[in-house]
Amino acid sequence: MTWSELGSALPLAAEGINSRVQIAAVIVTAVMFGIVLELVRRRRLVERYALLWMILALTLLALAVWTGLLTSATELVGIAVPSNGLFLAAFGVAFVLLLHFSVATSRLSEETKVLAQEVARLDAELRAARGASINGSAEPAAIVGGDAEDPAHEPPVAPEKPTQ
Amino acid sequence: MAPPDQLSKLAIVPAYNEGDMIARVVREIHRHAPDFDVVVVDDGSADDTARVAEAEGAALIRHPFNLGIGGAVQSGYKYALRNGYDVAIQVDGDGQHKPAHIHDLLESLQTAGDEADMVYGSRFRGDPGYKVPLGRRVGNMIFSVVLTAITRQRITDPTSGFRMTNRRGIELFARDYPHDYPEVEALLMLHAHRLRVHEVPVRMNARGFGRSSIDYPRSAYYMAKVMLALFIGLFRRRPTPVE
Repeated sequence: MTWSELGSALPLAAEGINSRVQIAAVIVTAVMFGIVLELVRRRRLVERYALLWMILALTLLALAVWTGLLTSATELVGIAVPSNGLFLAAFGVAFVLLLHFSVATSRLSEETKVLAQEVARLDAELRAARGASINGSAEPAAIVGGDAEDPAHEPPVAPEKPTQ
Repeated sequence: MAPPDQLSKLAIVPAYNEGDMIARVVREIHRHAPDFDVVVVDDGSADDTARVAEAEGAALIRHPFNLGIGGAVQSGYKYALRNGYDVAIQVDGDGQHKPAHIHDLLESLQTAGDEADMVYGSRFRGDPGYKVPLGRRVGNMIFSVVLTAITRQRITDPTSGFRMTNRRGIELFARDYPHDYPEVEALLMLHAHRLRVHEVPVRMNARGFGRSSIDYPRSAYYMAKVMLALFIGLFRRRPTPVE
């Protein structure tokens, strides 16, 4: 978002209270952009989510600056009061985001479980190997909980799509 | 750098469900570059990639689930660092990179008086070796223009993953490597750390089974993500996270 774009967009706005709302929206968007970019710069946020939040901020800005946009969009869907359309859309977006994060959290907890199990398996193998070398046995002791085949080649988690 | 025969050298082969290709890739590396050890990073494959790789005599790093190409490659660099390798090269497990070029890259890495810290194989310095799809050419061109402007050095193939680094590159990438679509950002990291980059013309193969990891809806995300990362990278004084 550049200042020249804002400059050309703002005169479209009606005078008075409406343009004050628009200025507020521009400031909110700018602050949101600043926060998101700074979070990415500090590596607190990955680019994937940064892009998402930036798109949301831009949508907000577009709706605030082009007042006709919201009205015609709500008319198109058949909602009488434009602000109701906005609330509905905002609720929908929030709902989808929450669902997405629930899915992401579920995957993370599944992956954490698999990691813990892998570490535990390695720990068991290491103990078994240590025990074997202390006892002077040439063969490493049986792997705790492992099957006789070759545990290293068990296919890992269920075949999943790449995480990206 | 010491003469090539005294260096310990490693080929890092990231592979995700490449059971059909991986044997050929490992064999080709052994044939064309017998002085390189091979480590296959099985990034959570559901097929027999790991078994085949080990049967071919490669060292194996097996991820318990899929981390994506960035995580796979970084595991390789961590392995290289831990085992004290002087040189590491990435060779894709899908057979796109020709191991016959490995020694071209090594030569460029060690050119006396003009050493590089990272050398990569560019498809666009000559004949690419296969028909690169138009969309990829265009995307590549955009990244190329941006990176050339930032680094003030001609970068013709920033998305190439066929790259060889010395110790300094290994240390950098073992510590910090981008998550997804890492190649372009990695070049910016090298620049930010004042590491020298060379490029060498190579030919590549079309991907083994045409199963490119980047289909159309993803390419828009790819462009946006990498552009954002490049932009923000410019504002990071030290592009390395505090551990």
